[in-house]
Amino acid sequence: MGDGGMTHGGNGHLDEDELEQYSMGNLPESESDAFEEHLLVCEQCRLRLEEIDEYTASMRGAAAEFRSGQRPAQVEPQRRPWGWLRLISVGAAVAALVVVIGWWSGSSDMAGPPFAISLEATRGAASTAWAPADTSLLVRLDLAGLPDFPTYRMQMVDAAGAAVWQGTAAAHDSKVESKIPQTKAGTYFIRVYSPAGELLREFGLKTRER
Amino acid sequence: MNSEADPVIRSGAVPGPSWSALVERIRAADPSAMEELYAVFAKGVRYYLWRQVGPQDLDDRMHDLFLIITQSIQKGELREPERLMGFVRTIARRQVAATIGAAVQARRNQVDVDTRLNVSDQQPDPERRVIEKQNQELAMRVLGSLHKRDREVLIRFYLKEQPPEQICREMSLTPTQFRLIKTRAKARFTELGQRRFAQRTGFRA
Repeated sequence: MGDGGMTHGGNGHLDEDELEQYSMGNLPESESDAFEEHLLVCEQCRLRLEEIDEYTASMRGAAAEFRSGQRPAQVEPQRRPWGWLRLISVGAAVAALVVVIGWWSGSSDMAGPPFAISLEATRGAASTAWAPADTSLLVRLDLAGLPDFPTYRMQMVDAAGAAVWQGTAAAHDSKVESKIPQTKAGTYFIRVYSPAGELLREFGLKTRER
Repeated sequence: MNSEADPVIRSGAVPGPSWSALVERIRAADPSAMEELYAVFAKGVRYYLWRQVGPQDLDDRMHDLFLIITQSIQKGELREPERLMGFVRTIARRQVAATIGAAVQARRNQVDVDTRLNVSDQQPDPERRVIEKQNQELAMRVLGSLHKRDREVLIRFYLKEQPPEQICREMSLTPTQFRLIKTRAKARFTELGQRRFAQRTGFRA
């Protein structure tokens, strides 16, 4: 392969175990040549390595605390047995958002139902989407054509570029959804970033008083 | 830029075509070819250097490396154009080794007039520190929720860095059992992280 990469993962990318070994400095020297050459050219594997670096560092630190006896073992609260019902009900609500729909919230606070809006990526002259101000939003963003990551970072900025909200969410079927708090009337931009912070796409959104 | 000839720029994809065409264009002093190679450096090489020697003087190191590589190509020193990335990596490793060697030598030669040392602060920025602290708290919850035996497996692996074979042998585990313990812990860590995010934003996945 032109990139000299090892592709033990079977999909052209590095194997999870190899990434972990490399993260912990345990990858055999005989394998590091091809491994690092692949990392030079594959952003997806670099991002996976970053995540693994964070995870192994966290586990190492936590394990050290346990060893030192600073934190006693705690029992995690039992998962609620009806957790899967919640998943199904949320999944059904998400499935209903196939087309751009919205409903007006009778209340202006975050506890009321959010206004749902789907933002699609279009070519040519862009048209700005509209949503009500003073109502939380449930935005669904189109990620078609973007690199595939396990999660994406999102940020909403105002017309001056000041951040008003940010969050992270996992993508499903090239879409990512997130709930955004109510905003004042104005022009905003919702930006989608890779986990490493690379800006991938931006959507325009205007909010206005009802 | 001819995207068909140079898919190396495509993010997230492992490039398939040879690097020979790019090398030839660089030899011909094609500015667009230099830009394409720099695009690889700006991400992959930069990441490699950052991971090996940290953020100090990162841009300068990357630029130095870029100059070395392009000059080598233009002088015809790259004997196998197809192995461009292997060449880049080799030069990068030498630069890393030289950097580390210089740092070690500097410390040996340094005469401490007082006990203070001038070192660059490579601590993570405050936001990064908060994230790391939060991640460690999540890891603590994961470890705390485990059976003592499973916790011991993870402590041996992540803290003591014992090889999996040793852990399996001493704790009477099969490789599959070992991998399952690790996979479950990682999945639990990810779940707790997503749940924490949902609690803060009101978003329910």
